[in-house]
Amino acid sequence: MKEYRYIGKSMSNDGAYGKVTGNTKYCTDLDAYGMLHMKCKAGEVTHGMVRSIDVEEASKLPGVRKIYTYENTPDTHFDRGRVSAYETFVPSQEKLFDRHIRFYGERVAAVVADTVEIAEKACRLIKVEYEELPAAISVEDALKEDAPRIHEEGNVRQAPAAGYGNYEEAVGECRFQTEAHIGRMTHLSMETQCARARYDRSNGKITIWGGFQTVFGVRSTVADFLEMPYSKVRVVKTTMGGSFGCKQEMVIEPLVAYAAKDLKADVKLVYTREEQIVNTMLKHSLDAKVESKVTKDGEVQGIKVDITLDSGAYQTISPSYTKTIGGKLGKVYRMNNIEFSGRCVCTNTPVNGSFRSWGSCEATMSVESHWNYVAKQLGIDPVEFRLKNVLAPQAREVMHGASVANVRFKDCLLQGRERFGWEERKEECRRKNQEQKRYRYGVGMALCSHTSSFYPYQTDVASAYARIQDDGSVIVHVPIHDHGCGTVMAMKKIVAEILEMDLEKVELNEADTENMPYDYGCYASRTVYTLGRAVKTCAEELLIKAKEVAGLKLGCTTSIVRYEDGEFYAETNPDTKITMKDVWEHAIHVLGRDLYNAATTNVTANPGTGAAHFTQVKVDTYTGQVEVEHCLSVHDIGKAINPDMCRGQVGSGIQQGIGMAICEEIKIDPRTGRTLITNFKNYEVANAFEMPDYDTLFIEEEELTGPFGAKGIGEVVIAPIAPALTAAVNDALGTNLMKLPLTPPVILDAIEKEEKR
Amino acid sequence: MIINFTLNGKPMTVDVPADRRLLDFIREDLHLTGTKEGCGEGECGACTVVLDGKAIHSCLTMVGQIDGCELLTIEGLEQNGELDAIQKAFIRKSAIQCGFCTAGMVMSAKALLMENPHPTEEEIKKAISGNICRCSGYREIKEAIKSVADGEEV
Repeated sequence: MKEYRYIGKSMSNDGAYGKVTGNTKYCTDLDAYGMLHMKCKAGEVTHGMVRSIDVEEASKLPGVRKIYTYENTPDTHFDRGRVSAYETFVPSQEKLFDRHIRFYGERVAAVVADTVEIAEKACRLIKVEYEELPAAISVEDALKEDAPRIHEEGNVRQAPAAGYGNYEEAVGECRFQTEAHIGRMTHLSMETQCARARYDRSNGKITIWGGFQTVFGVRSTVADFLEMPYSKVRVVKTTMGGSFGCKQEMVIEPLVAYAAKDLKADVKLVYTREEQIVNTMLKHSLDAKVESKVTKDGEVQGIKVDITLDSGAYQTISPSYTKTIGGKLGKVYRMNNIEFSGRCVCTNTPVNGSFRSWGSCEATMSVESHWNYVAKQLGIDPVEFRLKNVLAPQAREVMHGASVANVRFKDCLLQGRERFGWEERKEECRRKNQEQKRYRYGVGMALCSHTSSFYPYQTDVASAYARIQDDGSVIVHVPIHDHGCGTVMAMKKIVAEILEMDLEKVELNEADTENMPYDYGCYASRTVYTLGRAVKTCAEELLIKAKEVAGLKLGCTTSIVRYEDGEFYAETNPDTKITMKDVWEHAIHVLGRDLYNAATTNVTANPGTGAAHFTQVKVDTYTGQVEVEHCLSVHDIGKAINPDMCRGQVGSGIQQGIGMAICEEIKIDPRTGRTLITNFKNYEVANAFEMPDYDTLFIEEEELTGPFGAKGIGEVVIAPIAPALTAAVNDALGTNLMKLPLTPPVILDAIEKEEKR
Repeated sequence: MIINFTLNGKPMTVDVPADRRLLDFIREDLHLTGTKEGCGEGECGACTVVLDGKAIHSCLTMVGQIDGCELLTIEGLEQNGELDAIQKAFIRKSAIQCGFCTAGMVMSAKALLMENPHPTEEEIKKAISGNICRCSGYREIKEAIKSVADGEEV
């Protein structure tokens, strides 16, 4: 294998110095003379109409600039999940403010004031009277024929039926049915939602800053809403304090930009943690019914999956999310018969939406829990069961008819099984369970994959533009939205590798609509695979241009120009060497041309990144506590450009997956619809003390279509954790639990039921 | 209220309402924005600073409480252009991702190492158990602190 300078080397994160010294500015740290501050007032009804809203007293408070409500803001809708200007959401339901309040805590007003304190005080002085309406808090209630209509168009959005083959006609001697559930979670990005919008009185332009996942999506949403030309709205991504999906929807940007334009001012809004939980989006709660037909020796003949997602009060991205889950069903196993149905249902509860993996967690929990159950019923080891059924590299996945490219499920399973010590641990659990009764030990595993691009759902285009500077260094313009996971570092490494120059000489800023080519944004784990390819192509073409100039300077044909360690020479005369600086000078000074290159690439594949997770748990039958004793995540990553950062990603996936499986849940009061957990006090999340020791393994079988062989990693890391952990708990207890989270009361209840049987 | 304290080694006297949150005082009055707010109720650790050698939540502390004390924020660790050993270790061990927890995490680690230069792995875990990091599984962070405790050189 080729030895690279930077690719595959652990070199820490880009911007690490700024972060470790406190110098890096996040959106919340931005301040300027005359900046105004916004605060929102939360509604206090679960479902109802605003009867009256009295802002008189609040308006009189010195320092209050303006108060916004449904009465003085546009009645037009905006789509919070829009990526491109040509996307229209059906149904489009959200406005800045609505007289119709659909969940407890929904914003009813916003105050812009000189300070945060004044804005907060004014919010408290606003008096709102409501006319209450009957509410539908659970999906079950919202699905009833006589359910309160949360939106005119109804509460339910049915996903288009999808599938392949004919499940009903599939032949398999054994039939199985399971049901799985995932609860609502909060992303828990350490930085809450924040946006700043500044109207420039000198030219009528608006600039918006925030930790966004899509600057162009924000721009089209806001500019359309404000009826401004896109060229007059500039959106700049600031350093992001984590997202995990919560920064990919436009929750506050239209409001902040509207106020900035209206007041011709500089306005900032920072959400509190409570607002972050209640007023952005949570992870959907999912109910899945899975049915399959399998031969006696474990060959899968077909699968039928029906899912219901709770959308919360507005559909937003839920119809798309629901559909995507169906699209993921053919990506891991050979299956000739798939039937998918799904729906998302509005309830009078906080909005659910985008979450890391966009459906892979849901598909994997539903299906992998099912296969673990099937394997157990058939008396087949779960690893062996999967080995019989997984797709081979380059196989065609039937839901889209596209290749899975170089996905290595078999390697993930075999290498993972060995490294984890699957057989030995199974035996160890059996032995420990025989020795004593209080603690039950078990092992479990799950397999999945996730995307590396949008292909073939939509054209996946990416562009980059690079300019050699006077001293031979390079500035690259590529709209990266780094979540903190190291994508800027990955791009810099790609450029430095191709141009054989010091990493220090490569400058690359994050996304900015004004001086960068278009990009959809950071979704689908596409950054390194899709944008990385554009950056690599751009750098390669730039080097060709530089070689042409070098040939003219050296007085030889381009074909014999060689480039090594930042120096050009003619192969026939290696003693005369010129640098990138010399080449730039020759280009500008002698030839009268600039040295830059722009490249646009279209990806024509969507390689799956395979992930297998193996875990061993200890369940305390007295307390119901589940402890992960050891676990291993295996990823078929193609090539880890930043191995250190990739391992960090795996760690976070394990942390969040454990949370999903055993402790994290945002509960809603089933009677009142109020969010019961609005802070970290009652939200159980694994800290450094509780986080188990874990192992990581990367299988680096290069993906030929990826830059240096790389594929996506950012999202797949979370998907297999919860079903593997669920399987381990079931192995320990002899249960078939699949409704998450498996909290101590759930475990104790299951043990009690098991004992009664 | 007039309060006297030492900010990152320099004596300061300020007139400030005693009940102002220390976090707001640091971020808004002193313009030291390295200290972050993650939850505002002492559960996430992003706002951790070191007061008289102890790691504290600046969101739960009032300015009046720092009268006569030594306050150390993330901005005070780098000395004469050289990073503190714990800062270097966080970079070396790739313990920084989104960075929003980093300042608080580093300050919790700093307080631990000031009191106990050679903590065990258990002591390290305990010292940062009040600091949430959502981008990692804490492994790189623990390794960074351990490397300083073990005297590992750059």
